Amino acid sequence: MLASVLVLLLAQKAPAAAPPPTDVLLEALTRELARSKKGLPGEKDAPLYYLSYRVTDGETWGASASFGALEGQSGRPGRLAGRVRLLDVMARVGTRDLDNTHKVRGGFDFDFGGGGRSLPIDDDQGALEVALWKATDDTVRAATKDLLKVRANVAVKVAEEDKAPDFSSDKPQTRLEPKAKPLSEVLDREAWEARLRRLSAPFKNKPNILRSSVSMQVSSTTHYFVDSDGAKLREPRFFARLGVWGTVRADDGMELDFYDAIEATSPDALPTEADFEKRVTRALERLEALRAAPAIEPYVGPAIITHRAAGVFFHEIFGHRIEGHRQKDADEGKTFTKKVGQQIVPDFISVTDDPTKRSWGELPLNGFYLFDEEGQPAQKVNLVEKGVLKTFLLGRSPVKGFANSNGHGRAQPGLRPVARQGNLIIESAKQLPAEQLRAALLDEVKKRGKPYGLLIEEISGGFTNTRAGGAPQAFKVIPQIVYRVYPDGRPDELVRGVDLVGTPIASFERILVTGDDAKVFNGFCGAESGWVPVSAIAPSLLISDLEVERKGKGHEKGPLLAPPPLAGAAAAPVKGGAK
Amino acid sequence: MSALLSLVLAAAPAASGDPVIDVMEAELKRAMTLTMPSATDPKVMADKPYYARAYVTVEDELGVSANLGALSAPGGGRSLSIDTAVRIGSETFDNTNFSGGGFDFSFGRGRFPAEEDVDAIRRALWLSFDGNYKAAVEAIARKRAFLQANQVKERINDWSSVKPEVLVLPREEPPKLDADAWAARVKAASAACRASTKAHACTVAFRSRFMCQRFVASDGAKHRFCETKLELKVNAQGQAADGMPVGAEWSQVARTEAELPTEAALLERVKETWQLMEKKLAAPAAADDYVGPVLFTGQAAPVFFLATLSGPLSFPRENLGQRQQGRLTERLGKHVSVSRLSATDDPTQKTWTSPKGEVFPLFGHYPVDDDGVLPQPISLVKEGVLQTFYMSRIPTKAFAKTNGHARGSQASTGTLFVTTSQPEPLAELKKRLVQLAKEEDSDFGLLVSVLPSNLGDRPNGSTVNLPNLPLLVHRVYADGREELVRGYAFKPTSQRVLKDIVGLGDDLSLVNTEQFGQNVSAVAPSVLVKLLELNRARDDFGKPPALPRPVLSAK
Repeated sequence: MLASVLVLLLAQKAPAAAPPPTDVLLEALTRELARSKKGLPGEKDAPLYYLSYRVTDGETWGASASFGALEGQSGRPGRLAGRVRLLDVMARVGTRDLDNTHKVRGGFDFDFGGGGRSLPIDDDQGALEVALWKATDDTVRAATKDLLKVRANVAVKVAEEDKAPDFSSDKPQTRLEPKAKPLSEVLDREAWEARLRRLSAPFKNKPNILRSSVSMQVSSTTHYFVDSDGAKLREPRFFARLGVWGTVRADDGMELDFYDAIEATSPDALPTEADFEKRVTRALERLEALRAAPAIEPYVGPAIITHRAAGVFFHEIFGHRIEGHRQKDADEGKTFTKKVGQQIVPDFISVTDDPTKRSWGELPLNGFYLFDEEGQPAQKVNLVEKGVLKTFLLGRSPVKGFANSNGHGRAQPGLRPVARQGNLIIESAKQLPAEQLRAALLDEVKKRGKPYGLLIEEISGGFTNTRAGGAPQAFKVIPQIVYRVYPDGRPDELVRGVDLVGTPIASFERILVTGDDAKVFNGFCGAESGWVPVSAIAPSLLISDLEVERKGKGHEKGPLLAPPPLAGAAAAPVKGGAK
Repeated sequence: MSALLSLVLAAAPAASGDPVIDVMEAELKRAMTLTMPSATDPKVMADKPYYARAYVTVEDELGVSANLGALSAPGGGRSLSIDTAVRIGSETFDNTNFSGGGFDFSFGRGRFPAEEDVDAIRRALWLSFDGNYKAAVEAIARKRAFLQANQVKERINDWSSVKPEVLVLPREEPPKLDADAWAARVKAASAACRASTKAHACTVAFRSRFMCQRFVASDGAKHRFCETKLELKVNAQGQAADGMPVGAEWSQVARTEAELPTEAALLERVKETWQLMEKKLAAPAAADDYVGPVLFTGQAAPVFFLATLSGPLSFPRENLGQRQQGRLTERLGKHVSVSRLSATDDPTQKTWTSPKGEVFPLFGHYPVDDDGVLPQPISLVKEGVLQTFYMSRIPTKAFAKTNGHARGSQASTGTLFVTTSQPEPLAELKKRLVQLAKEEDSDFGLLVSVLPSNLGDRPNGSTVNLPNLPLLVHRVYADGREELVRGYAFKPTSQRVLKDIVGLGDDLSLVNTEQFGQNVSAVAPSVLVKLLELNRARDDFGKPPALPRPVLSAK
């Protein structure tokens, strides 16, 4: 009684401070979650034992310009343009040992989650709760049906190798960070549109460039997570990517792309126009050079994969194969499942994945986050120590011997989280400075009697097949800039149409030494749980035997007529060219 | 010297006053010179185009909607589409009207500028013509090979000449709409649904679509016209105790904001919509299949005729090697319906005045068709006899020339007008409905007053598909009682349905909707059909939510 009087008095005496900002969305999530968990016990033999809401709330914006003009759709009207508020409901029925998310073996399984739903963008608690109510009911109903399928499947198939439970017991987390800032406060869209037009205009004067664009994608979102174990999280995220892309066609019909992008995880980290202009100029030069370069012939021999390219190389051939859920999926190739405690890469190499790292030097890292999409805190994971595999990347789907999440359950909105990479960091205890690494390459070339070695400078991306059966469990990495390096002192020669191919274990064994020049590749990685931002950091690698193949070439002829003249050229022939 | 001359020419003032049309014409002129080695003999050059055309269409959209008083993410923006077509060979035989042409994955299409930048537009046109020309060279070679290998009884010309029309209407700007004000309006209107305790969702949506089409063709035809379509839509959704999802809908289209309902009137429409949805929730579900007479009134009557009459009279030209049996278009000069029915199509009409004197816009109106031809009013059916069908510049066995109904790739509906020589009052039709039902051993006849306006695919033989799930159906009993019922679904029927018409009303209703992706209108009287088949309601719906809907406070 006394205490409450005191509080009242204090409250009256205190200056009229603004009430703490209420988060209506969070309120609605919490309330409807509690009501649902209590009111939806599930069926008798299929109890609802876990329920979570994940909401991605904020704004996205993107624009693209080609040859000086915006393309696609532009100028979405109104201040609410680009608003998103997407809900993912996760309902688990059954028990932690066997629930509705258990993988059904055999047949086709395309269930990657509920697909996500749009919530009202207004902070209207009632309307939000109605939307949550309907989504929850649908999801719980579907989960109950799925559990029946799971039970039948388990009953008719042979016992599984990995009997780990379907859901881990991990401590629920609570942390409320401030909400993300609206894009309008941090980004002048019209100014960016004008910038993109200007940045894409130089392509106008390059008749050999068939297609090109300069594009900007940006999102500022608040990520909410609440669950029936008591988790309550709010985390702001910002991503921006400014990219330049072009395609040329060589005389033999082969189409060649060049893509370059810069990422930012805060608005002030975005490049200036002048800085990015340099990248555009470089892209133009590279495209012209690629068009004129000779096509590569299939080759096996020594090569240097330079830092950023090496990061992608590791991401594809190693990173995807140590994602936890793949270790217990009967359809997966399980390259490393039984190799914990064994050496899988040369002993001078160690690998970690550390999503708690915000930046590398001055460069922000794409793979940074506070909490994963299963509400678990990001953790640094020592995957490989001195060549020996220690653990896997884990979400809340346990693997034999690994009962808990290590904060890598990731997904894009609308898809169910699985274990994914964050910031993959490759470290080496056997490093050489650039000059010596090059000399080592040439030594290797001479020793093996090869006419040349390869220097792989830039990679646009790659893909890998981790699954058993059907297509080989190989990888393909697509370099953009590759040079032949000759032992006789001739200058390096740019070649085009190179694809790197191989199988993972063999490729690791062939790493001889690394550079001392670790650099960051920031990008977005796509897999069954969608696109997630990732980084890969690696030094250059000297590989004794790298296999490359010639990329398939198109059959299309180039345009029959010369490019049309520019309006600016006709009006002001002296200046010519761009506006 | 010649270079200097061309520079001077290029710098000369624009001919049309529209820089976009100027670059379209310039690029079209270049496209007519396209040539390459032929697909069959690389030593021989393929034909140059004998006809080419280009469209550049600007679209400006805005969409805002709110559900139960809360806004959803808005959509819209400005975009441009660029389309070209190239014909090689001659009007008697060219690269088109053949399905074996293979798929065309050529580049340059799909990514268009989003603004009227003449350099970007011209570049896109250049690549589009280039890709289409190469595809045409391949297609004509495949078509020749097909003709060598297959017997084709009679060949029809592939294209026809007409007097080229030039119709450059003023370049309008998109309507100046206040997106925030519309957001506030739909939000307030949908908040009126909060009075419903049963609505799972109740949306009010506003959509504005502005488009400006520019067209140039190598025969000198040229046009430009702009069009605005505004739409307000109310949709209430719930779930019946037996699990059936139940909805009610209201919508109105207009050319200007002033033609749309006032805020008070909109609130009234919202209330009527959710109340109707709640009535449907309480209504019985159709327990048995129904075979018997059906009376279509209100919006359902014109939709019925779009599905049964103008749909089957569209897309008259079949591709080489793709013949359909028993199409309505083959019955020229013969009775296709009862004699009391006549039908015309007149896309030149901009508005329609109802018998009560109200004026409504007709979105089936177009100033010039997609072949660049002026639209013509046509008589489709006169006293039951088929007079003509929709024609574009693509000839058919029966007609060599267009009647100005090219819409998209082929000919189809503009504004359909159905009339009758023997109008009957609705009360009389209802009486006959019950009598006919008795003959089919049914205590009631079905009265359908709202049909979904999503009309089906291109005509397929003699099958006619009515929009599957009627939205508002009543059972009419002998004592005049009308009972709301839910869950019936039409089975496919045949074009004979027009001959099964036994009565037409003295009323007229209008629908503005879309058919084959085009804006169309139809005006028709109520129509009584002797025999149609409907399936009973499905009985495998998911259960309604286990928890009661969260309570919504009034706003």
